[in-house]
Amino acid sequence: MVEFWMRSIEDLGREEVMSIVDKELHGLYTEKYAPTRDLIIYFAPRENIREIIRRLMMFSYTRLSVIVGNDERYFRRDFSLTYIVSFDKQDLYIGVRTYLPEYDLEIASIADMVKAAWWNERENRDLYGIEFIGLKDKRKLVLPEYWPDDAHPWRKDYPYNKPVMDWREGLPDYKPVGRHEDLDVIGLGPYHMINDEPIHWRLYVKGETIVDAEHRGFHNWRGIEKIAEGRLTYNQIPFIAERICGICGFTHATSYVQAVESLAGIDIPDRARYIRSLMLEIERIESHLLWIGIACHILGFDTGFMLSWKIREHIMHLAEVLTGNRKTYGMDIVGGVRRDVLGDRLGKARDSVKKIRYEYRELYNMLINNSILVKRTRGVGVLPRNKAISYGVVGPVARATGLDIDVRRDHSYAAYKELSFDVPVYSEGDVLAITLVRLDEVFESLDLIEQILDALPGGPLAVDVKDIPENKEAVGVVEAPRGEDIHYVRSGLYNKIQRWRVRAPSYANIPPVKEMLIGYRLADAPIIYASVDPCLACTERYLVIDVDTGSKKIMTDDELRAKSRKLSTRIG
Amino acid sequence: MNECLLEMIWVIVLILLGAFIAPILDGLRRKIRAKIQRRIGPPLLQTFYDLSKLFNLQPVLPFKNMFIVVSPYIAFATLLVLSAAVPLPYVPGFSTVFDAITLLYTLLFVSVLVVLLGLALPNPYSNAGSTREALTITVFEVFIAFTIVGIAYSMKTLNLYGLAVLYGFPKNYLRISTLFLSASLFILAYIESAYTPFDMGEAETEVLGGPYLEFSGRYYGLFLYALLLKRYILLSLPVSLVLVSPIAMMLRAFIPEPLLSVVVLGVFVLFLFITMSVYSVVEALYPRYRVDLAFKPLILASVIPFIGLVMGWLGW
Repeated sequence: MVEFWMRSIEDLGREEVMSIVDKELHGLYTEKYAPTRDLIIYFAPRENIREIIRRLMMFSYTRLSVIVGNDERYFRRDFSLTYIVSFDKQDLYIGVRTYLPEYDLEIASIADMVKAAWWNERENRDLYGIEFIGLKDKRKLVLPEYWPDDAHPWRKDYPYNKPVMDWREGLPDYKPVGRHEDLDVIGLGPYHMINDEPIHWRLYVKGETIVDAEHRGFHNWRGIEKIAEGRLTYNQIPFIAERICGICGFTHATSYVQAVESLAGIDIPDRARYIRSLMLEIERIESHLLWIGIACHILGFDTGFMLSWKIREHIMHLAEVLTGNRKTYGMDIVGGVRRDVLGDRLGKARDSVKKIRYEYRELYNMLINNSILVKRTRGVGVLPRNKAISYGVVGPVARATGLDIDVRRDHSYAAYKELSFDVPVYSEGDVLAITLVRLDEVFESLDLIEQILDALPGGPLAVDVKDIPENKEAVGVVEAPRGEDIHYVRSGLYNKIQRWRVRAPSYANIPPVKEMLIGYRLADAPIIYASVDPCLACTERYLVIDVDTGSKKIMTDDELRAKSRKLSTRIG
Repeated sequence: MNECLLEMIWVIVLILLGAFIAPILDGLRRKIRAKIQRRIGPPLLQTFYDLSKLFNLQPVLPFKNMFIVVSPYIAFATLLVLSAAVPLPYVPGFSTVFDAITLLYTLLFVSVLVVLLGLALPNPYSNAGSTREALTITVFEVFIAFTIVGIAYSMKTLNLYGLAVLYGFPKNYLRISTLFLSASLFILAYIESAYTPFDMGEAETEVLGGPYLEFSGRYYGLFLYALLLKRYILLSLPVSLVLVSPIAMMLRAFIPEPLLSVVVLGVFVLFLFITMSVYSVVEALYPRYRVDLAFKPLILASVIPFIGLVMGWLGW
């Protein structure tokens, strides 16, 4: 296994690290440019990508965030791949871009070296038809098994209404990678008690011990980015981005608008920054309490489940008081926020926070003093630090393995630079450590909400945004409850985006679950899988498929409206 | 003849009581857990509604097999008959002819039947749940054996009716060995009933109900009813011996016998509710054990009836 983080740079500043990286990559890249303050793109031939990523991953506190594929044939007759590496201690993202001509879409895989590339490469293979030489797992990731190998829906010339195949011909079976004929196979999902969303785990067990595990997800993959690209305007996208997830939707909307604001060089008003932080922290508490409840339920502790969700009701009510909605606040627009937090509601919000803190403290004490709960989670599902780095895990899962990363602090955005908070870090890497990180974070978020309510500045809510400059690119990042949520946006012509890539935290956190499961018991599998707080709605984004014809299409606004009216009439 | 008729009447009364009270006790358990969890909870009769729904649903079985089809009926019928053997002083049902070993091992027979069914079914979750159930039964066997031998040695009888009467005499009741054996009976009823944290075999979020997974409709309804009856019978052991028997022995001086039987039955029901309430509180406070984690407390718990047995042997 490749050793990472051999060169310590976490104490160095951004400029210093940029010059070290320049020297390190000297001769491997052809040119570079900095589209935004925190993003530098290096252009390199495909033969050098593997070496560049290896060298970048040698620096401490770096991780492969996402690989963005793009069909740039309208600009330069090529496809591109951009490997975005985060330098967490320097507030810096380094993108390494290579171009692949249409007639030669092959590049060496890096998934054997950096596990974070595993899903990214499979996704780009599905959607653009880029072949990764050396990629062992060549199953489809986001597309179903029956999808034709020559149909790549992310290509710009792929028509929306192209029939995929005749479903009546019969669907090919799912082909598992594992071949363990001497072992029992236990399928966990797609429909299982612990799955709120469909995902399939194939567990190979000997007695109750898990020997191997295999994942098949994306049953609900919906391709939401395709809807946005070329069809929606910049200010319509935040609303569909917020609908990516029913739990952390605001992080997606914020991440997207930050990317657009970054590429257009827009500074938003202070009040808008604070309101964004406020809503993000409310969302974090809501999400963590939801997870705590589910974790308790999985472990058969329904009292913890019910009490946690009862407290969650208070935070949902607080969101409703402040925004008018319990979830999906619809607050974010490019340039600021749409609605104000009214002054007379702030007192209520403070009272609410006090009440939540009091009740949460009781729950916290009950959970951490419960000996069986601790025994069920201690030493279970351990993810070693080196594997965590390789998989590029983020959020509480990373912080439980001793990786001191938090986007709020490391790539500061909204109002976080002016607020004071601690980042809980544990080193054990087991389910207990992940749980403790989340438990501690709720207290930090409550503190942050109080700070924001006390320091909420006056002034306008948004700046007037004119046209967004064409052919610019940027990344927007938010520390979602599950970790770094990164949105890559490239602006296109006619005030529309050319490419939008959403990499939700669960996309980084689900792949290592396989490693976390092996060696543990069947009874531990549900809590190990749940420990990463998998959010499949975020990981899979949507598309409409006609079951009868096999064709796929994007529903227009009018069609959706008509369908909704029809349903409402039927309900009466 | 009159005595025989009376016994028959009590058998019918006890069977009806068991059939009625077992779902009510489950309703109480759900209500108390809901209160602790700050929920309103379902009505007390919810378990009846659930059973009625299950009995009216069309059952779907993985494959046709006479053993699988007949098993729920056998389990239910066995436990319904067994509910007439609840040991109560002055309430002579089948307890006059049953002994403690017969009672506990008939209960165990039903558990083994469920385990065998789960292993026979072509479902890995059923198999895993049944394996856990089998492991728990095996490890807990020591506890059950120590308890039965301890009680038999202290009370000098194994007949259930005899135990119900003898347990309440002060010379038996006030012994230190009885204290340990009484505690053992309460623990035995709790663990053998598979309340949380010992519900590993059925763990819904892990093995989706384990052995019961493939059963639906009236077949599952019968198994559920059988499980509730098993819990009722197990609960009745500590309640009748430890709580009702001494009170009945005190009351016999003041209340004439035909009325005393009714009073004893009333006190029994009252203590069933109280004990179930305590059990429900304990159940609400703990998550489920993993099966290997449960071995240690199960083995360690065997020390309690063992101490009771040794003290009984020493005459304390």
